[in-house]
Amino acid sequence: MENQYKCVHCDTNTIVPIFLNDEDKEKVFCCHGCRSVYMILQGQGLDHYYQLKKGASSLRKGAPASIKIDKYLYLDDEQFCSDFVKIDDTGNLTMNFYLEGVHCVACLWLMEKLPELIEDVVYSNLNLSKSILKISISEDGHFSKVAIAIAKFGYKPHPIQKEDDAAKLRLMEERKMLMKIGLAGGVSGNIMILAVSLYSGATGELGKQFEWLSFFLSIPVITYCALPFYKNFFNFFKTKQFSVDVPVSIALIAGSISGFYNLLNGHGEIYFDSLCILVFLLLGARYILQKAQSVGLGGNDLRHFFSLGTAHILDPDTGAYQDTLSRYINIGDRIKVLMGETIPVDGIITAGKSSLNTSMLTGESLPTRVKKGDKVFSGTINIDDDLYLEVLGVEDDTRLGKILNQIGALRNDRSSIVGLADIISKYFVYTVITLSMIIILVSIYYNQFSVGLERALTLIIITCPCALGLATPLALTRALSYLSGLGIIVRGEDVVERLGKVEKIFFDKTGTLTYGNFKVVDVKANIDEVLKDDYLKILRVLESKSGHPLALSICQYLDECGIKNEIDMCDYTEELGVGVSATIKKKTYHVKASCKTGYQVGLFEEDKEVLSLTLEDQIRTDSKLSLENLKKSGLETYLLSGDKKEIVSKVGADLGFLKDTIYYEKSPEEKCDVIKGHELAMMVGDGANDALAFNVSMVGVAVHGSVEASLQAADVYSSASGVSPLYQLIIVGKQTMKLIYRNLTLSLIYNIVGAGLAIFGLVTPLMAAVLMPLSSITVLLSTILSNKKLRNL
Amino acid sequence: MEIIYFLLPIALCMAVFFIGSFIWSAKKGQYDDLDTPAHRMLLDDEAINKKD
Repeated sequence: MENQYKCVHCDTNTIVPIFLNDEDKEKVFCCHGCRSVYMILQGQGLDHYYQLKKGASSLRKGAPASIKIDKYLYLDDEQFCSDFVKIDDTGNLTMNFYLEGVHCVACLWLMEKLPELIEDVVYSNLNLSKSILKISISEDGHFSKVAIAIAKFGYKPHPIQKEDDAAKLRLMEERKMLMKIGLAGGVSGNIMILAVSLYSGATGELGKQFEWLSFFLSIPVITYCALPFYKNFFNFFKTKQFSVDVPVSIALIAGSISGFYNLLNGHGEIYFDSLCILVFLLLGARYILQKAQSVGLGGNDLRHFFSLGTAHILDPDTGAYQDTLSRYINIGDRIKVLMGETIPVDGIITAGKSSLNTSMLTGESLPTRVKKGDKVFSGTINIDDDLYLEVLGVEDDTRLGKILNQIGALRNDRSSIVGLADIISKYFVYTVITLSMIIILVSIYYNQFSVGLERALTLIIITCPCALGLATPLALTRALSYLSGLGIIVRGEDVVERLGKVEKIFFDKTGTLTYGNFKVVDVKANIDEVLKDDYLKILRVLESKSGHPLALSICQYLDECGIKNEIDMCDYTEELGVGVSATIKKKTYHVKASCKTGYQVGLFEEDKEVLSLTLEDQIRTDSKLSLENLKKSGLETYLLSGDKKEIVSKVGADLGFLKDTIYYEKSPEEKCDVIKGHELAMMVGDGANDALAFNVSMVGVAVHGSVEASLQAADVYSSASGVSPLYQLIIVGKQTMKLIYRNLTLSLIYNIVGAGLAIFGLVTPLMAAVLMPLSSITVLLSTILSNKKLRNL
Repeated sequence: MEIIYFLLPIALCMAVFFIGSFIWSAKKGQYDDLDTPAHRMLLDDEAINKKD
């Protein structure tokens, strides 16, 4: 086992450590992003963050920070603000962000210190469990500034559309629900005290008073708290939409009328205690269900993960390039795309030459060379040099836009799996209603209406699908909260159900199984080995000035080897797209790149090649182990890539894929077809080229660093990089399905036995009301027990 | 058993008080976020010492 280092900033384990500086080898980082965040925090006097982080329990896994920081100019756009910014009475502007990367109390501290750190920020509040940051700035402040500052701290802010009336209403509803539960619970407890003395034989004057007291206490519960049931009951007459609330409402109304009748009559059972408990437990179950459904981000929230980029457009009057939002670009405009930026439109190159990283669109790991007259597509990244484009297509007209549209169209006709419990409860409720009707009719026939009514009431209370209703949401809540702790966002609870059925997993290669960027894998010296270090030093100084991604990779590699930047050079020139050159000790050196099977970089002394380096997109350290784990648990794994045959075959062989499970050179559309040919398939990827495949697969998983197109189409988003969380994801899915079946069986057995007892008059309504929570507790216990299993994962 | 006429109103008053305070806190939105405040109370409110 190689030495593992733990990143000071994000706690990720790494075998290639980056040190803070040459003197301080104590502080280790997994990437340059984390290192720069650490330095920023130190510089601002925020090192208290790391003290807080020590020993703080983490809500979810942290992720390495990114080096690239957007300008977030779109946040200041007026049109954008009208949808996202709320203005309060004092003129302050408020925006909500979903923050990727917040995980513990230290993050909370840092985010709520923002008003002290950034000018204009007046208020910040972080909801850790939802990762939502609410920021208020003064009238003349800019959200872009705030967003850049947050991004510099290593979090990724995604603006969330401002709360509309529907969202506010939802919040008020939730609070009202809680109030109802509290009221019903408090009243039920007090009525139970009275009921105990009644059932243990209180009679006479005191018994009478107790009965009246129970009646008065139950009034707010039966009228106010039970309102949601009555509402659905009346909806049943309007829409004919059958629900559990129909028998519940019937039981409540019939129970309170006959209870009141018995109270006036002076003999017979009063049912107020049973009814209050029923209302309390049902409301509680419903609340848990609602909470389960709102865990994680909804589909609507994910929509705003769209990163709206900044572009540079030519102003024909002044001849200068101006910063603008990419959405304001029109066909025919001339724009400039700087080195390192993502091309926002489809266009044709009018000037400049460069290389493009097209992996997000095609899956190809090697950059493609482009020159004047070539067509370029939106979503590709410009790596070598500035490009000047004439715009041919924007938004929906681009190739990326077409893929996005297709996703929207496909999503609608995807059949939804109806919850198993819903189907069962529906039939169950039908049966119960019919049975109670029969009981009452039979009792009328035998002239024993009061006995019949009591039995029918008992039947409805005892078979109240409380446990049945709890069985699924409890299991799902457990699964969703466990997954969100791992940094996995699941879109909708039906996804968990589908996860349990997955048998085949298809992996994208670039960016998913591999890092998606280049690393030096081989250095060949064409000179004496003894001199190698001297030449590496020369290479280090030459590359240190260049901003080219390959140069950065090489510098990183040399840093890891301990090669320092300590030589002086002069006459440094960088010929974009070709290489760099400089004079050192009166000798001229060149660094040139050539692209064959991998990326080759050569260091030339005068005209003789002295060093040649090979760079490759490396396989993630955790990929192999994760794949083995998945295979062990009986899943078939496939490699589905858009990259060239040789590269895919090599990676496939390294990772142990069988020959007939490797697909290469697949276009997005072909990927989609491959998945269509397999049932119960899960697709894992990060690029726009995987988005169509996500749509037709049973579960689509977007990994950390995915582009917006794939996020839109994905069912699951993992904010931890790599494929290691997949194993847990699958196991949780399978476990949850098992648990749901177990819970359903338990509650069904209980209900069937209870129904039998009730029909033959072996239990009274009160016993039924006591037995009912017992079944819910059984379900709860079975869920808690399997929670332990998860923790051992 | 006369004591019951004294105890029962007290018990009911207490119930009303607790149910009332629960409803009040629910209405104020104190149950909207159950995780963060638990963490926030642990943080000291001292100003950060900016280094130049």
